[in-house]
Parts: sequence; structure tokens; C-alpha cells
Amino acid sequence: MADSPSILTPQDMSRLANYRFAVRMMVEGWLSGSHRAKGRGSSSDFLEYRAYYPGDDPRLIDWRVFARSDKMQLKTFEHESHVECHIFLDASASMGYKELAPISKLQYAAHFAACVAWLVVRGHDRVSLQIFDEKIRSFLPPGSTATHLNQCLHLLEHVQPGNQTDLPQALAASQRLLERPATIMVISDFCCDTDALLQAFNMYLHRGCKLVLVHVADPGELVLSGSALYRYVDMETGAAVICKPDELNPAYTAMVKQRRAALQAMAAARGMLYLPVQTHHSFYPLFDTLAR
Amino acid sequence: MGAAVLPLAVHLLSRSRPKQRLFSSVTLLQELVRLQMRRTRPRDRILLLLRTLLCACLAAAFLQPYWGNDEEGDAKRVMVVVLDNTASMAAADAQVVRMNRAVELAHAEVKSLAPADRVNFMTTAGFSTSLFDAPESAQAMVLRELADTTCQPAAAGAVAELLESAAQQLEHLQEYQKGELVLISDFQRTTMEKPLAELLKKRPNTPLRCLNVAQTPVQENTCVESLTTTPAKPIPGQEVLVTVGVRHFAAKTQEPVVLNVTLAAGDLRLSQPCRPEPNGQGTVVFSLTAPQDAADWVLHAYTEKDAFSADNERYAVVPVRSKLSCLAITPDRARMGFVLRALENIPYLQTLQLPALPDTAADFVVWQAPAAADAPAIRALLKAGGVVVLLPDLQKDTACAPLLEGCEAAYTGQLKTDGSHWETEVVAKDDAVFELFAPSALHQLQQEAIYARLGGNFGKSLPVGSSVLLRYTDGVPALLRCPVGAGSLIVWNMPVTARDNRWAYSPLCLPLMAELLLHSRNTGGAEAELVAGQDYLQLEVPTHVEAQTIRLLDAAGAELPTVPLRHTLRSQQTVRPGVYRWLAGDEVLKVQAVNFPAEESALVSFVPEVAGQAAEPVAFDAQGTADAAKGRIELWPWLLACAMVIFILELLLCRSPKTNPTPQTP
Repeated sequence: MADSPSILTPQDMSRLANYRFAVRMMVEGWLSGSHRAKGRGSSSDFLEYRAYYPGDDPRLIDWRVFARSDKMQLKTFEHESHVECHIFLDASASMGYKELAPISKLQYAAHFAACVAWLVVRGHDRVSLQIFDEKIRSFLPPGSTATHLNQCLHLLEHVQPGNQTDLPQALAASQRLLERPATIMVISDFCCDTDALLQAFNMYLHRGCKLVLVHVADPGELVLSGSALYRYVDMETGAAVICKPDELNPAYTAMVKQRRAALQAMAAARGMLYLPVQTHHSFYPLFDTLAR
Repeated sequence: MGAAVLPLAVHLLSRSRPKQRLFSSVTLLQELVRLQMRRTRPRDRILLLLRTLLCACLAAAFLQPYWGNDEEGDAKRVMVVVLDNTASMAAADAQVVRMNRAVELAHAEVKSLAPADRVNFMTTAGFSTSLFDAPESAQAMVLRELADTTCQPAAAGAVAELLESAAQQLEHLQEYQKGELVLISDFQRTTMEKPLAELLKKRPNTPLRCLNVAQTPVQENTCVESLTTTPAKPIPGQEVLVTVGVRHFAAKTQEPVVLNVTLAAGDLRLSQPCRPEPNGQGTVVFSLTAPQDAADWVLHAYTEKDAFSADNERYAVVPVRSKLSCLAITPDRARMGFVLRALENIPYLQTLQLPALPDTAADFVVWQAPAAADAPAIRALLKAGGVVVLLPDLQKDTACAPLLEGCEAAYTGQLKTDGSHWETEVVAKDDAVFELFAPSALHQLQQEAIYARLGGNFGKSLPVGSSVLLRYTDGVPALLRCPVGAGSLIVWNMPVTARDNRWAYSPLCLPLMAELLLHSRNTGGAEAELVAGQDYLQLEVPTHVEAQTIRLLDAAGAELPTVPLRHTLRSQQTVRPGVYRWLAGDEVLKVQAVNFPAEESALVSFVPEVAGQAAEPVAFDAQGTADAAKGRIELWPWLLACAMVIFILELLLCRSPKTNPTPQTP
């Protein structure tokens, strides 16, 4: 096929063949897919009773329970739905950084996103793709067909670093695009304000979305190398700072570690999955985590 | 200002250009750098401040700032310091050596000058010296020279010219400049009075300031003034009379003093008391026998040491020669007759017959028939201390009158043709010439016939001090001796041929001639005395010796440097009093004595008056000296000390470990 995306190699596909997108990622979908979603639906499998609130469907009130206890209780049932996975790929300028790894963070992230998309589609689930920097640059609505996957892979193959990062803005803008809770996978270097990020995540968490945060970092970002005087120029803002790496390295390493730990703690506190990865390591072990 | 900016300039120029590196996000780095700067910026600023202060202190110290009042305001001073460092300054006055006091006064004067002021330094002893040709802004150099200046055992040399030169250097000053001639001396009357008066007379407006270091106007002192021998050049074994002249300068009227004078000649020590005259002068005579070895005989005369001991001794070097030189001036040997024969046979004489007087000097000159034109040459010989024997032309003599009477005249000769003859008689029987002769032997000699002589007015008018040794029986002098200058003139008014004088056949003729010459020598003929600080030691290099092998040694055996000059060697510098030897290997070529300048022994000071104000003696007072330099505190040592402290602080600060920022815990 002409212009078929080459971001996914046969080796990738063979390695991913044994993986299945995690069952625990199941969320409520609008189609009856192959996953049993824990949610209130219209199937025959009884799930549980809950108290009646004004506005609920009176047809679901169990009158027998009312007669016995004089309390109005509603029946809830399990239903089957599709898993929807929404991939948010950070394509800001900082993702173009490459120091000690053979590929840039964006290339790494795009490759990983391609693998995830392929895995989701193979599981007959729906995947969407949002490529953002300071705003949503590209949006591919959820789909599960091969054509949709090709489109997705094509976008990922040709993605280029853009402008400044604004993940909270991108998440906030995407909220209206999402009709129902789903798995949200954010692949980024998270070079943004943590509080704003948290606020943006809260919007999705409150809607019952499952968030997976894939923190991509180049090893050169974690440890400063060199002893000469350097002028570090920010790839997004152009700001510069002059310093000697060896003098700041201990404090910098500790600060980076601290930030990542804070991010991880925040994710853990809110039930998000935090997956740190470095671009000189393989990302396949991440799928082990995703598959559990 | 430039020095203060230097550290900043060095810092700016030496900063290395950083390499550029793209980074994903510099937010963390900016925060860390901000934290780091918060810690290091104060340290860096303090370092920069310290280095700036260090450079500023060093630069300021080089400017030699001072703190103090300057009454002159911006006026500049030009000072010429004339320091008297002659021998008399070594005297202890009120228990302080005058020279020490003078140096401290000079030091205080120079220290009182501002860095921009100009100064010159001159000394008066021996060959007067001047540090610069004109006053210079070189106080440090003057102070160094002052520290090296010592009292010289020498008299003042050309003080008048020195003061004149100093006064000239203070002429033609700018309007805002103030000139000052500071004369620091003991104002010895013999050396300073006349030159100072001359200066004040010639240049009454000279800005002169006299600092008198003599605390007592007349200081008691004894000195050995002179040491002479008669004869000046004895032969071995000859009796020598050594005359020691002493002088006592009394501070005040006191009982007559008795001085003990000692004469050392080789291993011999003789002492005699001396009672000086009311004028302070005294003489002691010692009788010695010259040594049997023909060599330089060193005599040392001394008295007891007093407060000024440099002049309590004197040396003399007496050349003892086995042969004395004699020149027989005659165009024809026959004309000198038996006299020449006698001269050539006298054992201690080395006689040379010449037709005319040469340039070389001789101990004796026997001149046959000199003319009036020869009188000046004869006088010169006598002035130099030689003994001249005149054998006048017995027909008509023109040389004796100018010498004896001081006028142009001629003496006519007399001749016995009638068969009679003249006889002589001894007049000065006690004269040393006749000491060895028995009266009967002399009587026999007197009876020898003489047929020619100078007669007429000869001998009528003789110079003072003359003595007629022999005379004719009619009273005409036959043999007379006159002291002229430092020498002796002997007139032999007798024929020298056997035809006219039967003395030729007498065996007493030769010994009489020998005794006559020997005892006619006095102090004349001695070499000129060498004075310390003025004269150099010189030696005419003998033909048989290489000049490079000749050494000059002092009494202690130390070698002194010499300078070759044509056929002579000369000491490089003037020397101190003492005895010096010229040696070629082990052979002693010459011995020379250098003595203390006699004029410096009179420690009589006067109080100089300048512009109607008498310069009273300056009391030695350490506090006063300090006060003279007060009003001016040098700041450069403090600045250097500050620079040192700052340097140490900077080192400590640089060595302190740098602390990198720690991440703030949330």
C-alpha cells in the first residue's frame, strides 16, 4: 500500500501480539463491545440496590423492597460496552529534545502511542488521538477500524514539535469532545504547572475517566552533564540561563526526582496510573503494566 | 582610580564565553541558579570589593600620602644640608659624640620635607662631596647616604667653595619655593669661621640655618703636633735627635699640666715628661741612635689617651740610608782638587761629578765656582732641605753675596805672593763637626798654610743663625755654615788645590769634610707629611719590580686597593692615620706614615651668627628630634598593612568551600 505508515514495524506488532489492553481499563462505552463494563446499564444482570433520588427513572424502583422496608430503592444492572482510549500526545517544542537517547522524546512518544493505538484497535476497541502543544493541533475522533488506525498512525508518523506546552488547556478543550468516560492516556514530558494540570485531570476524574500518565524523559534531562559553562536555552520559550552543570547537578537531580515523585504521588492519590519512561529504554515493559 | 577598576576589568575580560545548549525546560535550572546566586552573589561581591580595595590600597601606598599639618601650604621647600664630618666631630661632647648628634639632626631635617620637596646633601671632610649637582626629590637616597656617612679623620677641604656651591644651588628658585641651607657642624674656629664669614659677606641673603652640635665652646684636648728628626735622613749608627711637639688645649684656666710623652722606635720605648708653655705648646727631645740596618725606621710618639684620642699619637718614617747622595758640580774634576777626592772617599757618600746641576735631588751638592745666576737654584736646593757647599771662585765670586747678604755684589779674591801665608783657627770649638778631633790634631791643621781666599767684605754681613766654624787669624771667615730654609749653606773660603792649600796633604782633611757634611744636615730633606683624608699613598715603581706584584698593606696586614698611574702606584682612596707598607713579595719597598690633621685638634668652637641671631648649641633631645619631624604622619605603611590584611581575607574567602543550592522541600 502506498504511503502506509512505517511508524509501527512488524517487530513492534509481533512483540505486541501477546498483549491485550487492560481489562481494568474498561469503562462504560456506548456500543456493546467485548468488555464487560462495570456500570449501570440495561442488561439483565442485577448489579445492586441504591437509594432513590428525585429524578430517577421510577420504573427501576423495586416495589417489593418498598413494601417491605418502606424505602424506595432502585435496581441497577451490569452492561457490556466498548473500551474507548483517548490518546493525548504532547507535541510541544520540548518534546523535540534529544540529548543522550538515540531518538527524541516526541519520536519515542509517537512510537509508543502508535503501539497503544494498534493494541486498542486490535482489541476491537476505539481509540482517538489528540496531538497538542498550546492547543489541540490534530484531533482524530474515536474509531476502531483499520482505516482509522492508519489515519492515526499517519498522524503519529508525521508529527513534529510545535510551540509551547499547555496540557491543561488541551485537556480542558478536549473535555467537550469526550461524550463518555474513557481511558485517557496522556503521553507528555509534563513541563507545565502541576496545579493547573491537577485541575484539568480532576475534570476527567470526576467524569469517571481512567487516566494513564506516561512521563517521557530524556536521560539528559534527569542528570546534567558537563563541567564547562553552558548557556541553556529553553526550546519552548527561548529563555536562557547560564550555569555550570557540575555545580548544579546534585540539586537539579534531586529537584527532578522530587517533581517526579510529586507527580507520582498526585497520580497515586487520584487513582491515576503514572508510568515514567526514559527514551533510551524500551517502552515495552510499560505494556506489562498496562496489561495487568 | 585605574587600579581600583582593575579587578573589575580583569573579571569582565577573563569571563569565558559559555557554550550554547538547547534544553527542554530551563524552569528548574532558573530556579536553581536563582538559589545559587542568592548564596554566592554576596560572596562574589565581597570578593570584588576586597580586590578593588587591595588594588586601591597598593596604588595609594605608592603615592606616599601623609597626614599632618603643612604650614607651608602648597609651598615647596628646597633644602641643601651641609654636614661637617671632619675629625673634630668624632669628639665626645656632653657624653654624646658630635657626629651622632649631627646625623640625627640632619635626619630630622630631611624627614620634615614633603615628598615633592627637593634636597641635596654635602659633606666637608677631605675632598668635599655633594650627592647631587642640584637638589632632587630623593629624600630616601639622602637618608641612605646619611646613614652611611661617618666621621672622617680628616680636615675640612675647601669649605668656602662648598658653601658657595650650596648657596648657588638655592638661587633661581620659583616664587612658591622656599630655599634653605642647613649647616650642621661643631663650628670649629680653625675650619669654619673664615669660610662662613666669607659666605655671609658675599651672600648676605643666603637662607642659612646653623645647627651647632658643639655643646662646649672649648674642649680640653692634648695632641701630638709634630714629630721630626735631625738629621732627617740619618746614616746607620748616626745619632739622631727626635723632637716631639705636643700641644695642650685647656678648656679653662687651670693648673699647668704635665704630659707624659712616649717615643717608640722599634723595640725601644722612651718616656719624658713635658710641661707645655702657657700657649699650650711643648717640646720634648729624645736622643737616639739610628739602627744599623739601612731601612725605613718607624718612630711612634704618643701621649695618654683623652676624650679625643685620634690626635694623641703621631708617626714618622725616617729613611736610614747607608749611602747619601752627593753631586759635585764642576766642569773639570781638577778644579775641585782634593775636595772632590775627599768626597769620593767618604764612606757614606755616593759622589757623582757633573758639569751642571741636574733635575734630580741629592742630599749634598758641592758646587765649584757658582755664578750669581746660580743663586736661585741654590736657594731652591736649600729650601728643599739640602746641604750646599759652595767652593767660590777665589779670584772673584758673585754667588755668595746674593745668598749671604741678599744683594748683588762680588767678593774679590786675595792671593799671597810675598811668601807669607794665612793660617786658620777654630772658632766654634763646641760644634759637632769638631767633636771627633783632638785639640792637638786641630791645632796642626790650623797651621797648614793657605795662600788664596776671598777677602774684602766677605763675611762682614752674615744671615741670622750662621756660624763661623773656621776663620783666618785676621778674622775673615774660612769656613762658615748658614741655615737657609730647611737646608744648610756651607761656604768653603779656602783653596781646593794643593798648590794654594796645604790642607791637601793633611790626613784630617777627609774626616773634617765628612763630619762637616754629616753635621750640617738638619730636619730638612724629610718627605712631606701625609695627612689623613687629604693625601694618597704613592710609590714610584722601581725598575726591577713588576707593578702587578706590589701590594699596599696597613698596620694590621690588610691589603688596600691601588690605582696604577704611569710609573707610580697610588692608593685608591685617602687612608686613615697609621703606618702603611708597600711590598713586592716579601721585600719592603717603602714605608709611609699618615697622620691626623693637626688643625682638627683645636676643639675650639665659635657661635655663628646668622641674620643677627646666634646659633646656640642644639641640645641633644630625642623628643625634640621627634618633634622636629612631627606634624607629618606617613600613611603608606598603614596602607600596605591594610592591603596585606585584605589579601589574607581574600585568600580565606576564596578557600572557603562553595555550597551548591539545595532543593527546597515543598
